[in-house]
Amino acid sequence: MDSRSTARRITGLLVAACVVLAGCSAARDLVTGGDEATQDGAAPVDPGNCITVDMAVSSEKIDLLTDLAREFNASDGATVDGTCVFVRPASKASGAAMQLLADGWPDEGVEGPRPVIWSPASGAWGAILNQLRGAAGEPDMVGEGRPFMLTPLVIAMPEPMATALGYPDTPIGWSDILELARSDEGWGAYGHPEWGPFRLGKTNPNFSTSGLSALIAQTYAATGSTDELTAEDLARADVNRFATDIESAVVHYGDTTLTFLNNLARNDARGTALTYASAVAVEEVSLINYNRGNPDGVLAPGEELIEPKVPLVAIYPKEGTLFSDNPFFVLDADWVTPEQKAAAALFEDFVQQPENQRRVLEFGFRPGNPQVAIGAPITPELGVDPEQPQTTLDVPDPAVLVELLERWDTQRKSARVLMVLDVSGSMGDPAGAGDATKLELAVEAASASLDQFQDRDEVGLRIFSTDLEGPGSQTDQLDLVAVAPIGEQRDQLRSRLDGLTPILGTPLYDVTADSYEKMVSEYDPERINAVVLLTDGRNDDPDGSFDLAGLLDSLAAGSEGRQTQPVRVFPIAYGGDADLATLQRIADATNAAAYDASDPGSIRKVFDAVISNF
Amino acid sequence: MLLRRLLAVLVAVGLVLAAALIRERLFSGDTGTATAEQVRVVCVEELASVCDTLRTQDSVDAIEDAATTVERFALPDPGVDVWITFDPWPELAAAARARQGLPELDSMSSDVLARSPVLLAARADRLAALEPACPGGELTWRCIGDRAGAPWEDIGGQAAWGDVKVSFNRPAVTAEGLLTLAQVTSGYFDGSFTSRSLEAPDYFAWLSDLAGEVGGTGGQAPLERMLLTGGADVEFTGVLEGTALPLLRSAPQRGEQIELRALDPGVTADVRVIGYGEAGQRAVADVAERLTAPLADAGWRTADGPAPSELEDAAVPDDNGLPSSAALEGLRQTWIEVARG
Repeated sequence: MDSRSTARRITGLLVAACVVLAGCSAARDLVTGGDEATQDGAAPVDPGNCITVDMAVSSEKIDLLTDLAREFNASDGATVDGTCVFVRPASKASGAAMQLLADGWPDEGVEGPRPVIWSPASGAWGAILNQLRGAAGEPDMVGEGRPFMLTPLVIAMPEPMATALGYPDTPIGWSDILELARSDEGWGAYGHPEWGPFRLGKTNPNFSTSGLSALIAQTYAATGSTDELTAEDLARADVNRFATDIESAVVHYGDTTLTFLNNLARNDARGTALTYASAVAVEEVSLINYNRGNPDGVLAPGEELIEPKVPLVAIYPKEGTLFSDNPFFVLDADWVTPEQKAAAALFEDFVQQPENQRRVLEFGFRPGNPQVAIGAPITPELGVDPEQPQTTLDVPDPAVLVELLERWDTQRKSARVLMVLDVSGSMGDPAGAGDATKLELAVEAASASLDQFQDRDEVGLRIFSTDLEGPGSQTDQLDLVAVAPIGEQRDQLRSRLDGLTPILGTPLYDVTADSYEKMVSEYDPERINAVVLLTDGRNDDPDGSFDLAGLLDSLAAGSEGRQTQPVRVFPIAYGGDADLATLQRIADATNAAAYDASDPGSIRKVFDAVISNF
Repeated sequence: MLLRRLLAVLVAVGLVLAAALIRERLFSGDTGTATAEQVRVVCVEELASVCDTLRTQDSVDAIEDAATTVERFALPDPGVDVWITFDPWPELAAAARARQGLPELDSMSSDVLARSPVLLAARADRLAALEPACPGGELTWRCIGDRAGAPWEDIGGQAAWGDVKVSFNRPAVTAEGLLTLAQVTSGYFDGSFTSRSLEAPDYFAWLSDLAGEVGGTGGQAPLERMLLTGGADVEFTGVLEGTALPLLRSAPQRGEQIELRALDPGVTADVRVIGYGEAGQRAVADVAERLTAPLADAGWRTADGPAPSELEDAAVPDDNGLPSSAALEGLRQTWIEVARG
């Protein structure tokens, strides 16, 4: 593989996936009530006569930087040679912004204005951008960015479980996770059989910076080194076995750690926190937010903080970890003028001032200016340790990263998934301004998503609507393709998808219950067992057996307790008429996540995000 | 009350006039005439905060690492009238110029304005653990280098600390890094060294091993990274007293964990102002005069000022403790070679 294709491969994996993150913000909104800054309608308005400094920033700091920009814009210091400066941050997923920059940020109408400052979650994105540009014969676009704020990757564990491993006195790391994952006794080996098997929450490294950092960290742990990971290291049998065994303990993957934290919070509320996940790889800031009672990190108006009954504690892996350093890159791009660079430097100085760095701390990040001491909320009371981590790990070379991700595809836990598609009459409605119907777009997206499964994953196809086999047939669902290794039936699945047509009503509850029961009855403990349920409407089945309460009781009963056979139901709310709230409750009942595709045009991105769970 | 206001106004007017006068002198070469002649001042990055005091008069054109300025001198017009730097970088620049077959520039140097010893900056807890493990209990760069990358657990430290983490401030580029490496190398040879010394196989092997263990800090100075991430990235590094003290004073809480220590043999960074060409030479005395007080304030040792209180007992040798400029350049090239490998 040449360097160019190597670079393309990594960005294809990381970046295209991160694009999806933006599309999936709606899923977070389903739970959180939406992004506060967006709800405020506080997007800064360009006054028109200033030097405008557009910023592309990763989502976790958009609220903070929007506030800081507002203060800066109103300050006396916001001038360059007598001309006012206007800083305008916009949220853009790190990988998505990196790919746009690599492509020259081609469409400002769609993607927003070209940035003067880019602040991704990690400086590694800048290195990848420069590598891509170098491969294309272009000069570097970013230099060494100064960290705006930092947060390390940690293994978050419910405190009783961490204590059982020797926390806080005994250093814990990925090797201990491995031991638990390999143990047939699970937590029984540590005197707690009631906690069941060890269950690990880890995001998909193709989609999530946390997931990628965790993958890098566990690989270093397998090799016993802290820097210069090589392709030869990755090829070692013991390293491969280490990875495979760790992945075997994964609950499911996904595009964002918020899914895990929200599910943990919900389980905590009903007293089952210790049976959903034993450990989750997240950034330290996310753990702090969780323990503050704000698991998604966004406090909607009127939302109250509810501290968990079982707090999480941060395990800083003894083998080392990685920091997300949130650098400020003032771009060396042809659209950036010297005046804009001067203005950007002023804003960078502004955010580094101690009083503004103290605000970084309030948000749970570690200040990028060492003049500001690390203090609350980075305290043991909130489950974290300001004296940790003791060792950081080097980000591997891009070529090694590519191989790492390629190998992960073969090491990750395989999936067993039933795709359940709504083919009710309303799916024949137009999807938007174009000619395509909702069903046509959904079929296209579902068909495309099949390529994301590995051949060893098992996937089946079920459709549902009332009277599927003719008026009065009483057939609400049809299994078009049985669940089986997709490598043997990818074309068949595609063919059956292509032939779908809208039928009649929406027996949502009955089909959900039946699909769930089917997957439970065929449960495979070696795989992630799941139902992907796409629907564009509400339950519309007068003759149905289930009402919502009955369905939720049934799902929850099967999903609680240590001996459960967890089957996750991932609903996709498709089109403006879909019942978002109900679908969220269905997802909650099975410790999964609901996805919002109320804009049918987003269905492809949403499908990608859903499949990232596997 | 009225009198105080009047006095304040008079003082303000006086300051403005004085600033304007100094600026005119700096830009016009002390002739008192308002010519358009402007001196181009370049400052070595370790003196950035000190040189910033000149910026109030717009007289600093660039603050950059020492290697970048040396590269300028390999051009017919280096674009430098006044260079605020350390010994022996002017000699390195002259050598770079000679290598290109370019004529020597007329220049004039100030006296040494201030000095700063190279110090070890270390996490205090790591220092306490490492020192007893060194031969004879004596902490040296050789001892630190020998243990770089070793598990702390094997040398009496805590397992949770991971491996011994050493970093230098880019010796191929910065003065601080190269001066530190010079001290490290002098320590290896129990004294000064020559270009020939660097060819010794055992030294080359030792330096190669050390380079393999030296961690990067993402473009930040190692001490700053140490303050930011505790001991996670860097536990031991070399610093100039004059750059370290302002940083530690500005971050007192995080700085509590860091200890500065003077190691033998002593090496110092000696500050000079060099003027090139007629205009530059005329500006030397004025720039030197204006720099002296800020240097002392920042923690640099000036002829008249006291040693910084934090390190009063740190010995400063009579000379800078450095080898010839050729040996120093040879050391830089050797580092580039081993760091690449």
